[in-house]
Amino acid sequence: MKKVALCLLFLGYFISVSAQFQWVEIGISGLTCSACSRSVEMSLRKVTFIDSIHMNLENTNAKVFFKNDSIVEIEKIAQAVIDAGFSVSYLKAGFIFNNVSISNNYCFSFENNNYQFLVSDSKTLNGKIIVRFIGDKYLSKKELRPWKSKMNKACVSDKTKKKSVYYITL
Amino acid sequence: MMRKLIIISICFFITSSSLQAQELFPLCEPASNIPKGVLGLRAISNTYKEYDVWRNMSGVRVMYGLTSRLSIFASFTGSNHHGIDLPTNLVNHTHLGNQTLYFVSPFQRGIPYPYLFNGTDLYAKFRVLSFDGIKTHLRVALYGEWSNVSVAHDEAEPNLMDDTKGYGSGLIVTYLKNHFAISLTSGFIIPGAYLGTSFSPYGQAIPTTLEYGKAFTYNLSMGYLLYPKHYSSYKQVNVNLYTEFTGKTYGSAAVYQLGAEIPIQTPLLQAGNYVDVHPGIQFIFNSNLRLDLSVGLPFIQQSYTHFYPFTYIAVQRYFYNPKKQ
Repeated sequence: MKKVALCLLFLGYFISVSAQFQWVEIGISGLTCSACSRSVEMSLRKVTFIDSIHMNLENTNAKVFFKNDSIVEIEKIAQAVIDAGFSVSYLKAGFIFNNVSISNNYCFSFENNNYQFLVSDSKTLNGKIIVRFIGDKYLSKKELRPWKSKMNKACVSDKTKKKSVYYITL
Repeated sequence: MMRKLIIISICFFITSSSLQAQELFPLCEPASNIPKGVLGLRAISNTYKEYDVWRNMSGVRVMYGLTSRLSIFASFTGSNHHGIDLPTNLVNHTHLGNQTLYFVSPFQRGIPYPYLFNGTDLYAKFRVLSFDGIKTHLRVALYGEWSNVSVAHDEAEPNLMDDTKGYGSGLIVTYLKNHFAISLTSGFIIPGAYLGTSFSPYGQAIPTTLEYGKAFTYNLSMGYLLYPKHYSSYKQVNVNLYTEFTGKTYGSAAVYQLGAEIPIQTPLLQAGNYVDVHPGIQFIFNSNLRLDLSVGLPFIQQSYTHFYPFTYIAVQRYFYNPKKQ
């Protein structure tokens, strides 16, 4: 169980709650052959915090599970797919929230990374929630286009500007 | 008849929508690359019969993915295609009055030659564009090739890696859509000259320079997965069928002896063009070990650098570095 600080970040102020990364599902585009899927899996296997990979050869997606007590860096998962020579069509993660009320541009820090919610409605998240990652490494250019104007760096402050921000949605 | 069959096969490929596409072409490189940090090894061998003599070229290719976009290859080859020296009687002469007129005439073929190390061929491929979608992509890559092979090649057509030194470059466009893959490779070859010796009928060794023709290359490859229809395991043996067309247009060679250019009177050393067709089959074991088999046949004109049928066999395997990053 990973206990982390889940922090509300407005001008550098944080609120701590508990959360947990469960798994990541990643859609891989640009391939059709099982040898290509194998290359992707072998590339993913190099990522230190990944424990196991379930590759769906027919649908060309992979479900990735993590080692206990490891820090998950989502960008490294996407980069492993790119290093194998393919692209990510979607990346979603199973996340456990503990009564967190979110709204658009809600910011939090988790395992040394900053996250910003892009949502239309306010909600309270409790239990297992699937979040989708938004960014040029996690979506095709076409899929990313409608999100670009919403990626407003609301979570970037003087204290956090050196860290990248993961944009996520429900 | 042969050409009709091939055209029907192409139409079948294009209209086929229930088959998976494959771009792991035996002969031509696709625009896709070797995964970053992965080492590949390929053993290659091609064989044809030149009259009563079996000609063979064999080699080993080492491949590496420097980045996800840049792959480099080094190939080391040997063959019995040519002798240590250029053919005897390469240059003949006739007398016109008091004048002696020298010319390059058709020389004897089908002579057994020893197996010689040809040299090294380096190749780099850089993917410049990628438009990836679910089971679809359009990719464009640039390639460059350099060869230090220097054997007594005696035809105008340059063949980097097999027969001639020099360099080449080109563009690869690979398109995968609705279960159909097609790849077009187009480029050029600037061959280096061969500096060697040709013996006269009297046994006199004459220093000879042979400049090969510059070439424009154009290849078209297509392929599809025959088995399995649906993937369920890496252990399923993949059977892929391919049809590849390899073509070249090349300029005339130039032969020099004792500082003088000798007129050429043999089609072997004159400008030409041709397209070969290579139907092929590929087996992939454990989603890694590749066995490629293909047979080259003349489609339009024919090459003088090899006879037909031109058989090709290759075995390839990737070695993944399991080291955690």
